[in-house]
Amino acid sequence: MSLLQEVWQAVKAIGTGMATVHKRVYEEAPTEFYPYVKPELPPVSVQSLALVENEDGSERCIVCLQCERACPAQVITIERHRNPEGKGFLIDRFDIDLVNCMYCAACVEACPVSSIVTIQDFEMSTYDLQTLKADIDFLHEQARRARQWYSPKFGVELRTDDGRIEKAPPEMQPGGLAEILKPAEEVDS
Amino acid sequence: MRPIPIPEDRHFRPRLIGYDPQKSRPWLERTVYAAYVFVFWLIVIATYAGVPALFGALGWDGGWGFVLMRVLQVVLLFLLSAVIALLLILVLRKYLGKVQERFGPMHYGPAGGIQTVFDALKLLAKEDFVPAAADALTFRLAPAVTFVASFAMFAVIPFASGWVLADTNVGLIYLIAVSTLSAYGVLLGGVSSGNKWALIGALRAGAQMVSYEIPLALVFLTVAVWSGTLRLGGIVDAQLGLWNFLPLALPFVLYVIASLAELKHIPFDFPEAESELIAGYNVEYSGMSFAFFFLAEFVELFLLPALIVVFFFGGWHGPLFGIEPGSLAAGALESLYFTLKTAVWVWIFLWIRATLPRYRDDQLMEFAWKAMIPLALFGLVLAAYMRLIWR
Amino acid sequence: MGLLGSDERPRDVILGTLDDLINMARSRSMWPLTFGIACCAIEMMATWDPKIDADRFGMFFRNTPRQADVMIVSGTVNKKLAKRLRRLYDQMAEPKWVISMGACANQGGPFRQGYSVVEGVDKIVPVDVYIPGCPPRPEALLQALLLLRDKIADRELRYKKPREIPADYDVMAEPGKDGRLPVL
Ligand code: SF4
Ligand code: SF4
Ligand code: SF4
Repeated sequence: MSLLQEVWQAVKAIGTGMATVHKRVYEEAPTEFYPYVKPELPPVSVQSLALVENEDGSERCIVCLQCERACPAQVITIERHRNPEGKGFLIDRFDIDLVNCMYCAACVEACPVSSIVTIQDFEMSTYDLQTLKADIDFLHEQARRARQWYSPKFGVELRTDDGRIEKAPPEMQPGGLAEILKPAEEVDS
Repeated sequence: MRPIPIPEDRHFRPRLIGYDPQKSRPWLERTVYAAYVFVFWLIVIATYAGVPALFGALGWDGGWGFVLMRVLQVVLLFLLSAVIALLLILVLRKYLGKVQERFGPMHYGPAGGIQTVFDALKLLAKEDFVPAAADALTFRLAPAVTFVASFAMFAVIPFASGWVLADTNVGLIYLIAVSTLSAYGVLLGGVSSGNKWALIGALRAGAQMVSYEIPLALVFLTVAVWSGTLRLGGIVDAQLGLWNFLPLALPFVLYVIASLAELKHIPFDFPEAESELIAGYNVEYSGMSFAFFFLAEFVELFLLPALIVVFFFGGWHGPLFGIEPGSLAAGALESLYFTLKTAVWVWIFLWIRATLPRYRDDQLMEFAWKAMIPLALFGLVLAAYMRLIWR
Repeated sequence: MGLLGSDERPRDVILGTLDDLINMARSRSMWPLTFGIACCAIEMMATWDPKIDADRFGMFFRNTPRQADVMIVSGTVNKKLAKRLRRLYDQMAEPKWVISMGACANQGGPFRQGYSVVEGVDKIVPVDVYIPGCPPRPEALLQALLLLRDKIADRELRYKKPREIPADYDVMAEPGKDGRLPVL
């Protein structure tokens, strides 16, 4: 008797399994058709780095070398010289080795003026690693192409159609990350 | 190699080629499957009606003309098995995709329809590799043996009344003999590879296929006892009133299970258990040799369901709408019924494949020897008694 | 390599067309090797998930190197692994391609000054497409696979000889007395 029961249970289990599997056939797949449709990433997702300029085209970066010091992978190389007229420094060289960068955004956190920012350009695959050795022109180019970027200091910023830069509306701002970062800054100071 | 020009903005974008439905289009998919089945049907008609009619019209149906006709039919059947493999691999991938809530191949060809053609072309142009540790002759021979053993089953499969290559009166015996041969191919391939995974896979395949041959053969005998003939056409004819799956319910279930094992199909895919044995007996095969193993597997995935239809589901029987039996139109209609019934069974096999996990190896053998064979014997005796009483 | 591996694409109508057809078939049927190394392998698996579903483009994993076309080096390659990785590459049947996924495989990434890390998998095997990122998104891997598809479809094949493996890449598996590597 117990053998028959076992057989019956096995048959029932297989039947239930097959019915479940068949129901799945009619369900909508969540596929997002990547190369034809670009996915909408959240604004804080760290896919690449860029160097933002001011609206008038002048350099936002004050060449304080904070990002170079903060970088755990040591992929930022900055050379600077003193500004002959006025104060501050001017950039000689600003290279980020995007090949070895691990996209941790420590540099973005360290930057006092939010010049270096994270953008969502993930389509960086290449046939030749040299295209990933980013110099300052490429970093500016990346920032100019980006519609929105993120830095912990200013949050998400948008580039409007007429070229101005403005802070994104609050509903686009990432609440969670800003809150996490706030106490850390207080502890530091 | 020509240098790759680096674009101005240093971004390489993939080309947006391929069909771009952005959503599944079930009607298009079904059209593609229907087109494959239509090609299949046309080849069947050409093989079993077209070629004999042509040779009859030319007056070449004796002596060497007859041999030539048979050769032509076999070539057409080879084409048929290629169509079967292309269709079944496509259906398998798309069906497994559906079950996993994704789309299978869908961008190359309408609804991914020519994906498997590309796969076949690629395998054709890929390096065919013989490892140094392998026994070269046996290694080369094994895929051919496997494929020929599966392909030879076509000889006795009746697609419609009279549409069969060799309507011998020992059809069942021939089937038992030939289907056992395909175990040899797998065994030889695994043992000659000089690879431990292949060896384990081949030994498992040998043990499994030999064990499940026995219930399979016993079920064949049961069907023969019940129908009173060893001829496959005769078995189909005997089912005119009642399809065999009702009186022979127990042998029918046993046959389905044993043919799953014979196919090396989930839940009995021990010979190529991917999580344990990498790829099992075909681990060292690449290019066209591998393609022949694949081809053999999918031809069997057509042939064993086809045998289910022949033995238990009335073969080609179906409503003829007043068409005179024996004519070309009737033959075409009957072969269509046969194809559709087989398609349903192939789908059930794929469904089982999508659902069940793999057994444990010792459970498999235990099941064969302690459950299947006694039950098959019991079914045989029962069928004999029923035959004595009712006919 | 003959017909399919010549330096100049044959301008002959028939051979040129055949060449194109075969390149087309190869580019549309790339089967990667099931070979995950480190954290990037998680994203590699995610590329075949329902959301991205690289199987739409006819790619699915083969378990044995003999039947695979593409090796996705997904993670940190250390010197002990180097020999095995190269062995897997050598076991793959021609034509074969390599995608280097993630900072580690590209040039060592965060671990590039480590004593045991190979600084770039292209020191061992010829790489066709590189993906930056740590880890790259699954979409980025799909982009790289499609870039590889375009590369195969456009350009004729040529056998690229992999570099010699440097002697200091520690080899645990020494050749036995018969001169063969032991089965790993
Ligand atoms: S993201 Fe991290 S690794 Fe990359 S440059 Fe910034 S600090 Fe360095
Ligand atoms: S990017 Fe920011 S942190 Fe780096 S040098 Fe410029 S201002 Fe300083
Ligand atoms: S690149 Fe980053 S994610 Fe990929 S293996 Fe290296 S450390 Fe892990």
